[in-house]
Amino acid sequence: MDVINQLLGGFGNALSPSNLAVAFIGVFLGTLVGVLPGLGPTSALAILLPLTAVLSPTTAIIMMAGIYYGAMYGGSTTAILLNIPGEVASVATTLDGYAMAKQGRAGPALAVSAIGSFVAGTFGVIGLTFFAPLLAEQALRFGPPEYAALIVLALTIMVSLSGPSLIRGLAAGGFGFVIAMVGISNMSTEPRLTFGFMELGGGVDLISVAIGMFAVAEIILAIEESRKAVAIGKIGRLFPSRKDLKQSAPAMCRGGVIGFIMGLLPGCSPGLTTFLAYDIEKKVSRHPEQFGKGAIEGVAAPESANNGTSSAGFIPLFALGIPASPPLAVLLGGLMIYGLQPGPMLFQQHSEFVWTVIASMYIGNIMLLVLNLPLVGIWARLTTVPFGVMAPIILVLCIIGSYSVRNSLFDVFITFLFGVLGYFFRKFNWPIVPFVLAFMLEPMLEETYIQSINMAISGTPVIFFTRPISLTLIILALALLVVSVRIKRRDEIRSSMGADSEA
Amino acid sequence: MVILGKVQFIDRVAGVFAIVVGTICLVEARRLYQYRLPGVLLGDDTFLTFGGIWLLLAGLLMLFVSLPGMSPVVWPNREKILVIVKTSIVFLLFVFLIPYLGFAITTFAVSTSFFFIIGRYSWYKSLAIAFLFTLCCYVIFTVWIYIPFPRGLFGI
Repeated sequence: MDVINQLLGGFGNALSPSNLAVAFIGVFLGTLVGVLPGLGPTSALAILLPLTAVLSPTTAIIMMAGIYYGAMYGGSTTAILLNIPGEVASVATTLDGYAMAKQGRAGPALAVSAIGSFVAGTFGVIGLTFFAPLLAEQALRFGPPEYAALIVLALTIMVSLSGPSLIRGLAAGGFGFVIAMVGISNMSTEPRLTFGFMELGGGVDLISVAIGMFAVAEIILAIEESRKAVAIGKIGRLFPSRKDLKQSAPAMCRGGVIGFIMGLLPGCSPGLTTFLAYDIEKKVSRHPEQFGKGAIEGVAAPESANNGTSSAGFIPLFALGIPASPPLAVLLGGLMIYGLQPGPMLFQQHSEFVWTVIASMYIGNIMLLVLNLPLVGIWARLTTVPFGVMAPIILVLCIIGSYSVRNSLFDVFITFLFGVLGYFFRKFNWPIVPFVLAFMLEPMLEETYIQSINMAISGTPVIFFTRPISLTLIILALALLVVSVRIKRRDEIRSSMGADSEA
Repeated sequence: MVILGKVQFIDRVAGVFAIVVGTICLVEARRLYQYRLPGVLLGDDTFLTFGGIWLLLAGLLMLFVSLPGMSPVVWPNREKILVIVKTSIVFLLFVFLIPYLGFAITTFAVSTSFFFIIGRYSWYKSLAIAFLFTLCCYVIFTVWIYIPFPRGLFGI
């Protein structure tokens, strides 16, 4: 009851004209910046932080929260329309989002993305309202062994996303795993797999690789196919039908819950949660063969997971002062600039501020929907722009996007290289997702594994089996692996029987 | 999955490549082993060894196991290959020219070339569209967001 009263008080403040205006501006600017490839929520917050300097602490944090949400959503727009994943969390969205855009269904994809983000964001804010301190405490029980086990669980996704051949998928994953190790090593700071090239000392950046393998490769293929526009054929409905909403609703809920739970864990990458949500959705679907070809659930699940993660990230931030992700670290910096120390005392010493921000997050979610749904039609029409105009624009945006990650021309070169590689992957029907997934997870796995072994009294991997959460996750990973391999084998046998009968 | 059945040529190539890369990883892991701290059970070579073995096994399987899901590859005709090659050259030219010409001029030149090569627009149209596009990129990325692109010899 006390929580409800405080929340109502927060709404009273958040619904003031100035706070409403600031929330809207934050969401709008965040979406605009998030749309630009290579610029994710961290960059958006860092770039727009100075704008908040003239505002009061509460108003500034409201604006920053709006920027955060907006940027998370904005990244999905280019992922769906142009196959350019603006950030790690958008990679899973490209798999079905872009396929839908090519079928003239960019509108429903974008709309479901917005609605899913709203649904999941609302779940997250409800969780934040009622369960913040309790959940934050539980999240602290996750240490390096638990994270390492979680990443191993995520790696099992490679099996179900490896396309028609498991072995090709595993080989692609192996390449991704190895390429992620290029650079300066964690423990000895020796160069690893750099072969004397200084430029490789900084490693290979994930965004540059993803932009190359998805967007640049797609452009090369489109040139080959003499495509007239992104959307092949007429654009269909601009908004999802009732059937689309009915199909995607369970995916939104599941994705939102997965994203929320994972988002509580400090350091849990949104890329990991989006892929997990995608894979789980594929596993429970009655038509898993549709995934990767324009299944609307394949957009709803990762987008909901993405927004669920971003909302849940505020819980460890406010309750414990631990930023769950780089954008929230920037937000933490913003809080500290205004003299607000996140942590258990924040709720007691600055309760009005906390509840106003929580209330504004509800409002921000609604604004995200109100702002972006009407724009769906405009964005969707972009897919009919002649390819001769879109392709050069996309290529230049890819160049700018990959450069802007680390201000490095070498990353642009990497984008080109992986664009060519991605083209050959597509030509030979090799799966790209296991490559990207392993590439994304290897650094996290190595770091948490090293930390776990250092923690262990015996200095051996036994620690993973002596901690209950870690053990549970490993058992779950093994179970998922067995199930995934059996499903994959069954599909391989069915497809080879089908090929035999046709012959 | 049929062992020793008809293995696709490209799978064999990929298998050999995987074995080569896996071997390189193991050699590199051996080099890094000496940098392990004394008394520590793992080092920077640990995951490299794991990755190397992973690739070796995958490579061997690809060499000897017939894999499903391979359809005949249709390559583009000569004309399209030329367009792809020209586009690639222009893409790479961006990387090499921008330190000298700066972001604005390089983007303008590269966009014009892309519109001409891919879009098959006339030079005049390509120049006009590229000018508008470059202006937008300059305003958004350089003026508003302050991405520190090289300014080149002309300072723009």
